[in-house]
Amino acid sequence: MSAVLAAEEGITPGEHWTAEVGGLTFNLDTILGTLIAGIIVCGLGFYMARRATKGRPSGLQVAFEALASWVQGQVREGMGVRTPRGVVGFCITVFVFILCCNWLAALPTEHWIPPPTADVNLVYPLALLVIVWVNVAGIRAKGAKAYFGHFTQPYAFLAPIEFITQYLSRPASLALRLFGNIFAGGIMVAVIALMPAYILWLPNAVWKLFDMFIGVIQALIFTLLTLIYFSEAVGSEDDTAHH
Amino acid sequence: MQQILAEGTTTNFLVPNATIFVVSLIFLVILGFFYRFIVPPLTKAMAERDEMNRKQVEERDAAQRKLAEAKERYDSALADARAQATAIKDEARADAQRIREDMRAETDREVAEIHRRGAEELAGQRTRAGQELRGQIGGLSADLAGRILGRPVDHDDETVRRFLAELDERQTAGGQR
Repeated sequence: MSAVLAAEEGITPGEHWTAEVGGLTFNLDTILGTLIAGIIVCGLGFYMARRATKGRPSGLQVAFEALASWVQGQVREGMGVRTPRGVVGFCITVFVFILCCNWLAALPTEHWIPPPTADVNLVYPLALLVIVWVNVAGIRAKGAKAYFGHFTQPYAFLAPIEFITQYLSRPASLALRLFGNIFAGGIMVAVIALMPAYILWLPNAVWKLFDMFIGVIQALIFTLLTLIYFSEAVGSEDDTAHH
Repeated sequence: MQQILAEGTTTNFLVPNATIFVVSLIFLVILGFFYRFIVPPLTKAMAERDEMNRKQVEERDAAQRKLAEAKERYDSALADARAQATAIKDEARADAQRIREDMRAETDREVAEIHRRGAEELAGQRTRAGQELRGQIGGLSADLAGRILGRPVDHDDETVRRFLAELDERQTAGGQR
């Protein structure tokens, strides 16, 4: 019944502003949102980097440094000197980018520029990149035999489950967790929009604030899981010592 | 309702389309931009600050060590100074005692000298007074004898002198007895 009501009032989950080029469909709103988020994070990052100083940092630099310190701390704890090159930068980028994408939901532009993380077209490649890089890093750190042989530990008959977990469940959960949370946020805004205009502003403001909180949490979870996957793949310095 | 479900099936939002290539490319560009322009200055500034903090900590430790050493030297110098002050006070006290004793001895000597000189002077004065009296006693005796006799008695110094000499001999002899 609620689905009928939502449809009648114009809630169309998963529908995008699209364009067809050579038989291929492009979600223009997602592309635009990704571009805008990219421009914002690159612009802020570049502005911060140009003024980065070892002396008294600006508020923006403090925010970036807090993120970088957190990532470096996680990396140090999980991998130490075995950290693959570029992981710190990747995690910083992913966090800032996903956060900015998620926070686009706070703008009253959900019909034209919805948060791009509410589209699987962005979250799938992000998760795919993570999983591919994690496997490459694991193979480079341990060697292919040891890395894939690890799936048979402690019991060989559990290897298929481990394999499915590694190559299906993890990327799917990593992508769909982010997508589902932000997508649901958009649906909530649409549902709130069905309320009478005189009361609409209050739940809308409350939900947008909560949505911003969800945006931070989801960016944090995505980054943290990425770091954990990398740590599991390459192993810590302690593992090296034990082996 | 069936129409809605039908619409839902036509656009399955869990299935990606060609957008995936575009947004992947955009993300890779963003990643490259971060790697090239943002992460290096950020980590460099953090590393430099860490280095600066490490140096400051080292400098603080060095300053604290220097302070402790200076305090030790100060305490040592203070103890030396106190010891010197005590020695100087003891020496001054000893000097004062010695000076006091010297002055007392000098004063005693001066008092004894004054006493001696006074006694000598008194003896001299007594001798001179005796001699003066001896010189006058003849005249006085003649005057006195004349007043008793009711006529003038000639003053003969030789007689008086002889009388006094006898008197002295008697006194001397009496004193010896």
